Amino acid sequence: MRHCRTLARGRVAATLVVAFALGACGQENPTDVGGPLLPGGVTTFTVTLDADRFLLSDSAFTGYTRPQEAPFFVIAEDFQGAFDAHAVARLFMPRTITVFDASGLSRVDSMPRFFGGYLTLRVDTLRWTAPAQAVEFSLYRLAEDFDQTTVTWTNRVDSTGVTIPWMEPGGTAGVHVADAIWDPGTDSLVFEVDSATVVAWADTTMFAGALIAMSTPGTRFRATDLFIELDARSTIQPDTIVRSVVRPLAQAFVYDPLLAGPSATPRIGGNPAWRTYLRLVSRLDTLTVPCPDVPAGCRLQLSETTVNLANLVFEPIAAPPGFLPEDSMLIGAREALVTNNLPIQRAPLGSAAGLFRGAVEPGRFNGDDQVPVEVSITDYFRALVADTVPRRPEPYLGLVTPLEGQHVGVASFASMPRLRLVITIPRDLENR
Amino acid sequence: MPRGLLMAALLLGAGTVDVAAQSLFATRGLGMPMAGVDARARVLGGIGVGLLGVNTTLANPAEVAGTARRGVSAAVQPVSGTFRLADEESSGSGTRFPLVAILFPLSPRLALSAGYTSAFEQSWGVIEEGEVLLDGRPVPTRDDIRSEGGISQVFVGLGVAVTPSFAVGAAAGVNTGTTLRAARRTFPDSIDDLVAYDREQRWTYNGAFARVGMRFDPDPAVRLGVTFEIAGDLDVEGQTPDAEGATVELPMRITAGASALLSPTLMIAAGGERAMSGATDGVFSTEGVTSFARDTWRFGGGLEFTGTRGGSRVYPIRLGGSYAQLPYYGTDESAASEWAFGAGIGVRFQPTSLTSSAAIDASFERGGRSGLASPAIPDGLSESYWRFTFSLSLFGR
Repeated sequence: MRHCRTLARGRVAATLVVAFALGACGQENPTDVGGPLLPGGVTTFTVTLDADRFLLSDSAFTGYTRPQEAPFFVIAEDFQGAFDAHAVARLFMPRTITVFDASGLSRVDSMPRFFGGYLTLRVDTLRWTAPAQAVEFSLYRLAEDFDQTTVTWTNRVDSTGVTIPWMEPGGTAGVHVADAIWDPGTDSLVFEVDSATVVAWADTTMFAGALIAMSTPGTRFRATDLFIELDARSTIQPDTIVRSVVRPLAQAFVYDPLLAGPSATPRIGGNPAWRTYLRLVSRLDTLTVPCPDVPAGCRLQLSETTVNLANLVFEPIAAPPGFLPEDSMLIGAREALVTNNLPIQRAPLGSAAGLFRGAVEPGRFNGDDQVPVEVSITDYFRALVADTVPRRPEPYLGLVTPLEGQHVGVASFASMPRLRLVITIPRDLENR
Repeated sequence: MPRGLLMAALLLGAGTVDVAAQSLFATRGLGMPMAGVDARARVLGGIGVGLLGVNTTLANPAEVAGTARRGVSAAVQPVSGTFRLADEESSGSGTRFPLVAILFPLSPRLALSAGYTSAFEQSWGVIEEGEVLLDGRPVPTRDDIRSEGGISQVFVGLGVAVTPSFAVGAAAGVNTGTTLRAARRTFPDSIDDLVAYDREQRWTYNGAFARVGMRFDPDPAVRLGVTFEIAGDLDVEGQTPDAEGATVELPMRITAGASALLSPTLMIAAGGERAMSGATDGVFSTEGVTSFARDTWRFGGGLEFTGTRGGSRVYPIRLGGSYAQLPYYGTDESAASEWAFGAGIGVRFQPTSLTSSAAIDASFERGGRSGLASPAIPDGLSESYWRFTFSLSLFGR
């Protein structure tokens, strides 16, 4: 019996020892002194390379989105002395209204008499440019129908094989309906629609459309919504007036001029959207950079280093007249999957080449900004540096804004960006 | 042998490869020399040679002669320390496994032994925070530099009791091990999202060694032990492209120890070791770093009281201390040394003069190391630590 107790206690003791040992295994803690004792160490430094060291070409292409698909309208008048934009809409007038009769029952009135209404435009209060406090808008009846998916400033239909121009570029304006003044601080612009216009729009034998333009030069606005409120008197209950809200069957904005591609200087944004393709040199691993803190002559191959950061450094230039971005724009780079069988501008874009950094403010593209814009390509660049096999064709990058088609303005840069690298090396590499 | 205890011993041994203790003195040369001893020998001076009674430390292959039972022993050693360098202080901790030993008597006079003991420890880690100027802008950095591994001795030995009072023994084995050194620089709070720098270097070690020893008991209450160890060149082989290899001469050691019973329940033990570095002109180079190596002394001793008993068990109580010179230091640095004092307890199950059925020992020591002063760091590095050692020995029939 004593022997059994001894063994049982031995097991307990052994278990305690093992538990302690295993618990101790997880407590391997470093200390935060001792750095000066350590041999070697590492050094981190920056190098900026000119474009001819790493870049073969850059070119910008457009046409990646259509303004007709934008979830907003742009309306402008001689913005930056060059840019005009109108909103056009195809309308649908209701044929009936619903009223309650004297007994309280709901009844459909198929013969209502529409006598007036309002056209309301929701203004994007964060994205407008105007030289004056009060901006005048004008509403016209649109005299010609259009194809929502292909309409442009000059053509109301511009599909493959069919091109029908507007009689009047920018949308053929018919009868002037009303003017409205927009004051800063209000988010809606309301046009009063007279009974004659309502009747005309309700006439099913005629095209019903609206055109909204600006009268104040030097302005550009964005609107997010357009709808009409119609007032009708019932023939069932003559003392009842019913207000109906209707939305356009089709709507679009058209603008002039259209920026034609390609561009010799990098462009991003816009609608149709712009992308810039950068053709990099192959075998970036063999690129050399000067050693830090040692006399000239010492050079390091990038393959021997750790690249902590690789940023393309662009110099912003003035956007084409009228195309100053409406808002801050995110700019990033993606791997471009270029093949020999596909034109560069049609190359699909792959994964992000680096983190998308903070948005670039529109004021950076007014022509007097000297601060460069950096675009991270760290992830892609590190992969290229680790690649010791020549790539055919050469590696390409696509420069884009992640949400294409959200701006009419374009971010514009000088050609051939530089490359800023942050590099870390073990110090013993310097002393070879 | 109780199977539960055997399982525990195996579990203790299973961890020897993975974890290790920490000292910033291990940043020099081949690292910190370690005594591959159990908790009893640790508190009695750390020499492990010439100890009366059950001695599972295999420092002297002759001392296993006469062992009556098959046995296995393992030790675990958690360490917690405080480091001081240039008015800065920090703490760290770690665990190592200094010893796994197997005893196998072939006859009453002949016994085999096999062991795995720590020889040099290279586990340490340093975190250093600083900043670099990038395009004129300060960017914070955090360097995390770690080393894991070290050199261990794996060996087999044979002890022969020529007479009941005199035994000789020999052991041979390899110095083997791996060191992984990892450096990582991160950039906390960087607005540029800088990617971390990582570098890993790995070395393996391989070299032979041999040890001979003798035990002499001039009186049943007195034991003397001496060992002599010689090692061949150690091949330090880089396993990563930028890990530079080397061939290193390991120290030759002469170790001597003695113990005596002052009374039937009180033993005194003392010993010392001389290690001749073997490095040509005192310069030792490996892993891309040049260190100096010197000949060193190591001394230790202690008292063991075995008067506390309960039934078939004995509960030893021990006191002791040790002093050691550390062999490695860098260019322009002063050499370093170490001291420790401690106490320990244990349990002996069914003890006799030659063996017991099981033994559990624990020791705790307070110690310190200092040295590596240089023009850049006039006060050098100092460490103070608490070191706990637990060992478990199990014996069969």
